[in-house]
Amino acid sequence: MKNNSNQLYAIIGIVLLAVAVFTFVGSDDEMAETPVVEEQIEIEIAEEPSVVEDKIREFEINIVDRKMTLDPSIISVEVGDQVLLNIITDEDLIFHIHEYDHEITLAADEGQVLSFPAMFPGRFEIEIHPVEHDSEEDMNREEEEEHDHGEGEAILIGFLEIMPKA
Amino acid sequence: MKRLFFIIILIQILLIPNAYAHGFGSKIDLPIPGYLYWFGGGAAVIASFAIISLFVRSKAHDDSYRTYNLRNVGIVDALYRNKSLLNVFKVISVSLLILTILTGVLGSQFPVKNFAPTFVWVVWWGGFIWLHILFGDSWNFVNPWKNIFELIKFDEKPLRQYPDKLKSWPAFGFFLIFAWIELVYPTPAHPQFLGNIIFVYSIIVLAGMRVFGKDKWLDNCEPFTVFFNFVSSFSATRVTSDGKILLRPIASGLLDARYRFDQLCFLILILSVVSFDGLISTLFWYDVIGIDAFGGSGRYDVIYVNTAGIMVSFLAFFSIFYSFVAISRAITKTDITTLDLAQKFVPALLPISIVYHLAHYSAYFFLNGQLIIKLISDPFGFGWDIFGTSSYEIVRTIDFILLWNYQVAVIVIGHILSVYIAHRISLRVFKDSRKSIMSQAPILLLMVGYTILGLWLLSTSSV
Repeated sequence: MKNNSNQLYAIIGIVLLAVAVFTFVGSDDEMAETPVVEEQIEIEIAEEPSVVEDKIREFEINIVDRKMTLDPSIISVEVGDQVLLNIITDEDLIFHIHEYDHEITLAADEGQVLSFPAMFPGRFEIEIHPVEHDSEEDMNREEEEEHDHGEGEAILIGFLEIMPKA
Repeated sequence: MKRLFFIIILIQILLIPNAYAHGFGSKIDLPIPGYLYWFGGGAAVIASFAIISLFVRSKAHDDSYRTYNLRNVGIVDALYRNKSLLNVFKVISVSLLILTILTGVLGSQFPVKNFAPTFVWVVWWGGFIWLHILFGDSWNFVNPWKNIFELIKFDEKPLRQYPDKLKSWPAFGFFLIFAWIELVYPTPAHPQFLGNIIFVYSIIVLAGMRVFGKDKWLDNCEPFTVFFNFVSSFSATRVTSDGKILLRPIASGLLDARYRFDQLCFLILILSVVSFDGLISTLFWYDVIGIDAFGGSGRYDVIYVNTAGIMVSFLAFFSIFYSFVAISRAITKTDITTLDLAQKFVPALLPISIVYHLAHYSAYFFLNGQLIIKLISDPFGFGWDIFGTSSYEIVRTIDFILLWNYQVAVIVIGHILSVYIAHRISLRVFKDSRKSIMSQAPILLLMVGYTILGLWLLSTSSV
């Protein structure tokens, strides 16, 4: 029995080792690639401005009936990209990306641009908060609540998926 | 008067506040990439075969494992003898309970600005489990209701005899309600709701202990005592009744476990609840139930489906487990009944369910757990800064490559532990290595299936 448990420890050890190897392979790739990206940036600044545009990821966001027309409703980019969203909606609302805390107020049928750098990886909820036009007071209250990051009708319409550099 | 008071609280609880539609805090996990999913699945299968091969020639049937009494270490012994440390923990736990109720009821009603939601859902429910894995049954020492009961010096003599035929079914029921609140109720993080419900539950526990006796109530009706007791059989330490603190191989407590039918059901409930927790947020689940994951009112849309889902998921896990045990019994042609065999094998399911829970919650815990640093300085959300930490900046950068590897690693380790324990149990039951291996074929298949399910849940797109 003691022999068995020794062998068990050996198996657990091997699995742990394999996982560690995977981790290092992963992070090595990352390390290996980072300088390349930096080189690219240096080159483009010097000669080729078109490479800069490659790093800008542009998306057309159409919000109809409180839904994104994008299918699947996921915007996928990589860390380091510049995200550029051209947003157009069919009603007045506040467009909000969680954690990044980007928030813009949109009027119906008036396009707006939201642009920001993808700094940290993760999968972030994109929510809209319809703006009700009951009275001015009400609107103020609602906006205040949004800023407080809490109550008010929040409708999940999709995700911003920022992948770590592979 | 008393009745009126309760009715008011009950109405407050039942009025579902028309608030935010999603649960509490952000879950920013990226699904684990495909290559890791296959790697994890492959590792689980290979490890399973490796473990079988260990047992092919084994003849020994003893359940013994090496232990070491930690009280031989001077400092541990000194800490153990010094009751004041334990008393400090008890006072802290009672104060935290009171603070949670007060902040919930009186504080800011924005969940992220209130101490109660983060403390209950992230720190206590998400993080406390680690203490049990590392140090054994900590809840037993810090259970605030038990401590209040002892502090007030309530009469320990029960007023009524606990109906023993109820066994631990009340705890099962309470745990199901708790899981429903966590997974299905639309606003589980609403501070006032939390404050009220914890207050009402506190009265139930205190009354229960007074009427049926402290230990009877805790062991049979207090779901967290039962739950954490299960989890701590996983841990590397155990405090024995004669005051030893034994260091033992991790999960070996499961070899000593002898469970009744009600305990078997509780364990399957844990397994089904943690898996259902992963399932209900997947886009796959939304497809199955035919509800659009986007554009709706979140949890309000799925309240009935998921209420049914929790029950169905328990029944499904129970029947699948029971059928595989029945196959195992048929293969070995043993005289032991299927039910008896199921009760004997069920402890082996605990590691895979706990590790899934840990993998599933790790990023959530890391990210939202940091809120507590801010909240201890301003528990009511009134703008206080007691400890000077209320302006703490939350670290949002997660190393996903590390997180993914960690998630797959804990799942595979849990799988290995489960398979290993199931084999040790089967050797004890069948006392014959050939029969024991035969009995394990279906159980092994079941465990590989469960591990793949866990990995799949982590790798699929979810809401």
